[in-house]
Amino acid sequence: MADASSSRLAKNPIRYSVDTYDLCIMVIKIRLARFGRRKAPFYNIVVAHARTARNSKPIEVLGTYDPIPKMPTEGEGKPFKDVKLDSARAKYWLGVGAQPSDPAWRLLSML
Amino acid sequence: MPPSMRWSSVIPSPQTCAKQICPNAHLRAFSSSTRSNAGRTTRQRRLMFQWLDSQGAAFRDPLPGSTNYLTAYDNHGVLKRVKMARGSDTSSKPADEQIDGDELSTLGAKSNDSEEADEASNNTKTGGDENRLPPEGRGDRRPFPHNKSFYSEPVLSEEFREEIWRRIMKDGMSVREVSATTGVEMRRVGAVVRLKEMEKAWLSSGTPLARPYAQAVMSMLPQTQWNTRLDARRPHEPINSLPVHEATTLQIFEPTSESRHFTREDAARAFDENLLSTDERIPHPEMVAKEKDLLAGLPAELVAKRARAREDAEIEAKQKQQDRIAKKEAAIKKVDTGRWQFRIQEVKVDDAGVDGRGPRGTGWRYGTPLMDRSRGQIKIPTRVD
Repeated sequence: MADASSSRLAKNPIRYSVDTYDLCIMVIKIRLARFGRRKAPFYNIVVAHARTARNSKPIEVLGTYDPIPKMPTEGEGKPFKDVKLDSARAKYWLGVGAQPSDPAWRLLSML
Repeated sequence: MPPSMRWSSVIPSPQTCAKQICPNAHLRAFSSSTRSNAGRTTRQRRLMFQWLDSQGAAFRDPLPGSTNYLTAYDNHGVLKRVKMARGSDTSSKPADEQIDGDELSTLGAKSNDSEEADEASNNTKTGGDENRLPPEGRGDRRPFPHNKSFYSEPVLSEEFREEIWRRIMKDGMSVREVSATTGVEMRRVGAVVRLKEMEKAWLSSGTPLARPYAQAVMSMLPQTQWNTRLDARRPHEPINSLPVHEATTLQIFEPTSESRHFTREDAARAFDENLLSTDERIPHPEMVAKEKDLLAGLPAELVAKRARAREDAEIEAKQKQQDRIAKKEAAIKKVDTGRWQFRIQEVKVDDAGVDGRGPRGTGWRYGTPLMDRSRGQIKIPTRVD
């Protein structure tokens, strides 16, 4: 029985073309692209195709995120992290189905 | 490791010591008189005792409420300023000089016979003020006789410092204003206010203050006393002197044409691109402007009016700048998470331009090499500000 099924599979292999599938759906992601230096990360918040390399040229740069906390100049209060973002464009891309990655989601949820 | 010393070979035993003055002499690391030369009267010893009996006697008990510097006394241990006041008083009868000197020496040295000293001080020029010495001049404020160029400069009195603090913290005057009206440098005004604030915080928190110590020190220092009338007191220090900027300490050969009108702005630019001219770097430019108006022969009320207008313009400019900063700050959305505050600033994607490489664009740019690791770039900061 098992032999029969395996032989059938071998005879008629199901061929899923993943590339074709993705091209049809065209997943666009909002994600972070790591720039900066060693031990000094700095991120671009980008809109890019899901299957492109992390630091490849994106469709659009929505903003930046500096994860290294800076001390306030007055010396009082919490350390802060800088985020620069074009919220209108971010909303547009979310509206057309762009999927934020988890870190990008965390940043966008603060808007 | 240092080589170990062979004591036995260096130090002779008491039996072999030639003089046999003191059996433990070799153990002493300090210089001291031994019994045999104690009675010997050398010139230095004689001078020392001479000094102790004359000038030095004044320092056995320091003069209260006055500085106690070596140069304030003459060779006989008499306060020079008392002698001078006395001299101007009794210039008509120089025959009594010797007697006066004796009287004054008792005053200067503050001998046990205080009544006599009081009498002597009453006889001095200050007449009405009992026990009041004439104020010390510049020559009396030289603590190191061989250092002719060092003078002990007066410090601000307690009352003066309180007044500065009151003007800044209670009346809300600016540091520049207080500096101009009191004749105290702006940095010192700032320091006085900071220290006063600390003192008051200590007082309110019950931290004990070292008052007796402060009083003792202050009583021995020359002081600038507070006086409500600015013209009635000397300014504490020059307040409008130009601080030496580091960039201006270079010797620069700047070739320029004879016909060129080389201004202070040009001079500043020759030293450094970003250096302001001396007119803009001085602490009180408003005082200079006012003086210029006066020299131009403008009437007093117009000078005052112009000064006020300049002041208002300055306040307005400062306010504008503060508003700009506040507006910018208000545009930043602040989200508090547990540990951090996220500051979300709104930007425009289109600022990056068509090719995405515009100078006003946001983010790390694509396709543009960073030059920070290339040859010739300074990676280590050359100065810390």
